[in-house]
Amino acid sequence: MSNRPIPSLLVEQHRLGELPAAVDQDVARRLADQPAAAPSPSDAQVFRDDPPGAVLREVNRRLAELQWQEARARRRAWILWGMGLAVAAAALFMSPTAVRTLWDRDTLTIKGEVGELSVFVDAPGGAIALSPTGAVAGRGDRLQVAFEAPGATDGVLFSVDGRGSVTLHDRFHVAVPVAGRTLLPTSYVLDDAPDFEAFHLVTSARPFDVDALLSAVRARGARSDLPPLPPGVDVTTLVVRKEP
Amino acid sequence: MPIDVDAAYRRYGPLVRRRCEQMLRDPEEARDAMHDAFVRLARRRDDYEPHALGGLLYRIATSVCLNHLRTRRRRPEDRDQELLMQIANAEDPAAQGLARHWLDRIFAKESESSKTIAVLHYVDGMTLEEVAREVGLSVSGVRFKLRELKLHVDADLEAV
Repeated sequence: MSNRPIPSLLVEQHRLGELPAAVDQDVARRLADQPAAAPSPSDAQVFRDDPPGAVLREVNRRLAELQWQEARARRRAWILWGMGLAVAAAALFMSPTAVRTLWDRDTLTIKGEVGELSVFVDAPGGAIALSPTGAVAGRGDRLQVAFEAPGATDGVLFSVDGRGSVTLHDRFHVAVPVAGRTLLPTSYVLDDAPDFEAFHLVTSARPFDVDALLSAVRARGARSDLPPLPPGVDVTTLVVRKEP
Repeated sequence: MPIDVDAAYRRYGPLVRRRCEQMLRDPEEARDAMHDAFVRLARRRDDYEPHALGGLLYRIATSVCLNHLRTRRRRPEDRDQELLMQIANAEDPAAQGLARHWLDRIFAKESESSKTIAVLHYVDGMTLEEVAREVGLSVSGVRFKLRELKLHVDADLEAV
């Protein structure tokens, strides 16, 4: 009979019932001889520290952050490639505006009273053009949107397009305000709706009636602004103008 | 079918958290590493079979913690140095500078699976058979990977 300590993985798999039968019986025999200490931290403690819903949200946030960084890296690599191409083209007497166009493709960030909204095109060679006041994009452009809402415990991020369709991107109610930037876990492909796609980040330090707000927005149709908001509720708006 | 990360956390979260605490010896850092482990799972949720994920998540957590240990430099007696010494079977644990050199070389040269296999065997005390079953290799395959790692470490030691 073996006296060597039972590896923790086997103990965990035994608890979960995920060992092959023969191995499981062997582990059970060994545990009878040398009982394992109570799991520490306990399952209950783990879920008290990090409730499932909060973990999922944080995992999605980190995942989106990674995707954001990777997309930016890809985009920068493409820009460098484009710069090289532009330099080569300049040598062939092409217009230098090609270089400027490439550099203009950057992340656009709009700061509101409280919140902050950012957008960039999530595809090398995408046609989006960004300016300090807005963005111009076209059908099929894939946008990645991120937001920051310091001090907000409640909020909603949605967009309204030129047909008046409202798309809900994120909605949150947390006990403690989330620090730092939150990236949407998925990017957003612009459809053929005309004129604009207006992204609205509406936040507050206390609960507000998100459903009533969305209903009012839907009732207004294709408008890029919002109806009046209750006191203490802030909005940050980023309008992407659609190319014909 | 893609893995449901929320369901995976509800079933395996405690396993992952305990593994992280076991390796990192720091509850707060372990919680952070636990989240990173589920991020790794989420990134490849389409690649794994959505059942009996205990072993997989244990190995992911091990790999995540090794990366945490590598970047942890605030304490002179890090757990990573202990791990390294055991992996390399070195005789002089006081040579911390040397340990850092080995660690960097190992992390730079070895695959994730080799590092994890080394930890499962040398640190966790799993037999070659147990490791082989867990990682889906033959015993000789595991033995080969460990021998390769040992050779690399010995070669680095000689070079230093």
